[in-house]
Amino acid sequence: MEIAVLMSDYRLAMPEGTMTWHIPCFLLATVALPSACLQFNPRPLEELGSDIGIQVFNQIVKSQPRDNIIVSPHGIASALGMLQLGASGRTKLQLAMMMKYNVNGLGKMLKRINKAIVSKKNKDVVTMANAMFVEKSSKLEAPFVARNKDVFQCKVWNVSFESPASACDSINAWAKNETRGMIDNLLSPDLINSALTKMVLVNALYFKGLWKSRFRPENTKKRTFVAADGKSYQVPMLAQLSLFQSGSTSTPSGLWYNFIELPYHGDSISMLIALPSESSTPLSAIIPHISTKTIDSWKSMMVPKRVQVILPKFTAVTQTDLKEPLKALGIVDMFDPLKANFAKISRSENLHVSQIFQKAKIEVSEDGTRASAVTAAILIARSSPPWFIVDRPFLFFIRHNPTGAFLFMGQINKP
Amino acid sequence: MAQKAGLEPRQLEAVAILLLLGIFQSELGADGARAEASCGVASQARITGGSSAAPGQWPWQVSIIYDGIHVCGGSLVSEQWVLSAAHCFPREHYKEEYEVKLGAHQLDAYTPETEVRTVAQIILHTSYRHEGSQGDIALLRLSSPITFSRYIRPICLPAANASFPNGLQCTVTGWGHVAPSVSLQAPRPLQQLEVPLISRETCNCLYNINAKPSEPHSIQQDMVCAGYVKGGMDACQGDSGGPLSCPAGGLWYLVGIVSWGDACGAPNRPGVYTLTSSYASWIHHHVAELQPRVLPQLQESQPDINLCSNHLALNSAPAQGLLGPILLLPLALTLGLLYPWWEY
Repeated sequence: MEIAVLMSDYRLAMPEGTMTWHIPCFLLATVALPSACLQFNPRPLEELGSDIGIQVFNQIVKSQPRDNIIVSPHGIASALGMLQLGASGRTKLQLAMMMKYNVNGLGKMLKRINKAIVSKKNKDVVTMANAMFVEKSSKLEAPFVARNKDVFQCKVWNVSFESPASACDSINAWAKNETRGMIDNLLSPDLINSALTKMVLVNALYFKGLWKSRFRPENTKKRTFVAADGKSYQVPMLAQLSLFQSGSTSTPSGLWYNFIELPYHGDSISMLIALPSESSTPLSAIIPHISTKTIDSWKSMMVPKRVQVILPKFTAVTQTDLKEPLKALGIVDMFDPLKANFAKISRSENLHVSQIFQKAKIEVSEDGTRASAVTAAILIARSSPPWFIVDRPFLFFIRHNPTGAFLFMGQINKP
Repeated sequence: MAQKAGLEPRQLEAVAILLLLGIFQSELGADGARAEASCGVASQARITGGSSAAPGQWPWQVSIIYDGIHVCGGSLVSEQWVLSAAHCFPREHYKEEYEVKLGAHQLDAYTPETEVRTVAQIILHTSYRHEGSQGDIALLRLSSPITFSRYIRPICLPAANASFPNGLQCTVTGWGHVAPSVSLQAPRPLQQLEVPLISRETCNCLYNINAKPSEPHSIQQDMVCAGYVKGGMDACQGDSGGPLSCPAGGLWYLVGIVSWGDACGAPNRPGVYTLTSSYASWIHHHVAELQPRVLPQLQESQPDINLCSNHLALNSAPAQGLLGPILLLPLALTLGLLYPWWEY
């Protein structure tokens, strides 16, 4: 399994609107409050972060219920966190209200989370790369650059947007390199406006996980997948009889769905799959019910069982415009040339976010480690195990268990 | 629950009956046995080899269903009793959720010949601990007796002393997977496969080839193997509890119960079965009316270690290590004896 990327892109506002917003102190205090409570445990903080990503995902699937959608909730939280560092006034307030935390008080914690996710302990290749590409002529505020580097390990590069093609090339080359070739052609030159674009913010996330218990290639066979359009497709599917944590539950409206945890080598990262129990239940009926809290509750309902898992082998890439979903969630000012306030990024120029989008890629394959002795020893009996057959649209989550960060989530309507 | 009964007189009685039956059978010969037998008679015999069976060909084969899903096979051994594998009944399952389907051919088709019973009692062997352990045998009492028909008939239980020769062609049947992780396709007709018996010793030898020390598999005293050294044809998930039926004197005997195996059909990993004859007294203890049958004389069993010998020759390093001391020991003794004489 291999996955990747988020990228966002800011552009310079027209010089006419100069914003001078002053935030009432009590509002800032309200926003800052959760940070005090979260000082010592990374989980609630990362869950807040991932929850925004999940909310963004919910917004996206509303408009594209039948597409394959992949986002990185953690990547979205990181991008918004970087923006929050540079924002002031109501622009910052909207971001902090939505995210439910103020990045300023939580730099250390966020830094620790980001480090834990890319830690070698995971044994999965997780690469998180953040970069800011800034027009040579722009004067950046030094504290912002330093904080970004410290908290988000965000590098700053100088490019000249005056020639969109070469700026594009260097950004794409960087993204491709950072994601080990997984994300190619991130930007196209027509997204860069030689006169207006002053800064491009990229957040790339790449993950190549090896299953804790590999799928045997000889067991991969073509099987029928009934896609969201109701048509049947023959797709290669991985198969494995092994010991997995699984369970089932229902939404408040009484729609049942099953879930299973497929751990990756190293045990800190898992893929969770949710599948409606009845093929007549559309994915869209259970998505609004999904949150970090819901997914946490699965943990207590899961039991280890020998299960025959059938899962599509697939690669999916999606590029999603995050502007509309974020606006729908109340983050509006930062997109407005007249209202956006990024004074902490640059005092000399009036910045606003003209575009923010994310590109993510996932590959699911057989690769992994051999089954552990404990698993193998109890998998020799020849009774028929229960099946977990992912042969219709499903949701997946790639979670970093120690921090609770959702590195990726997606809906697959047709592998 | 296991009931304690005054066994002594009854056991004697059983032995007497068995002896009588044995004499009776050997006098009558094969045809006579078939005519008189209340078990092990199939309406048609046929060469098998990984194919769909004919309806009624294995009338003792039953499907054990849990919560509406086929989980295991089983064998009808009397009007009210079915023999299966202990691992088909994990502790967390509810007895009430089990059903036994008899006289079925295609699992997905409904025919008037098919009967379904709930389960009144499940007796698991107490020595069964985990997958691959001893005692993978279970007795099920049906909620009500079944009437035998062309499609529903019991198989014979072999007596404790019964021994079936290595290489005997037996048949394993079931509705299990047709390959690892590949389920039988609808309408799921009963599958049959001819497999030769392999001795426990040879099977242990085979399972030691390329064995992972972390995953030891040993063939216990109450197990027997059947299948092919080269692999490819074997029982698989969903066949557990089902019969390994062997012919003797014109009747079919339940020689083994599908139990376990390393994957399915892997080379040097034949299927492992619970050896029914080693549980003859356990069966009789729990169900007095179940009478194991003494076999007519079968041909002498020939050693089959040659099935594993190619590998023995190749992997002879440890054997040579042993050979050394064995040869050296007599030599040392001889020298020891000679030593005092040399002193002179």
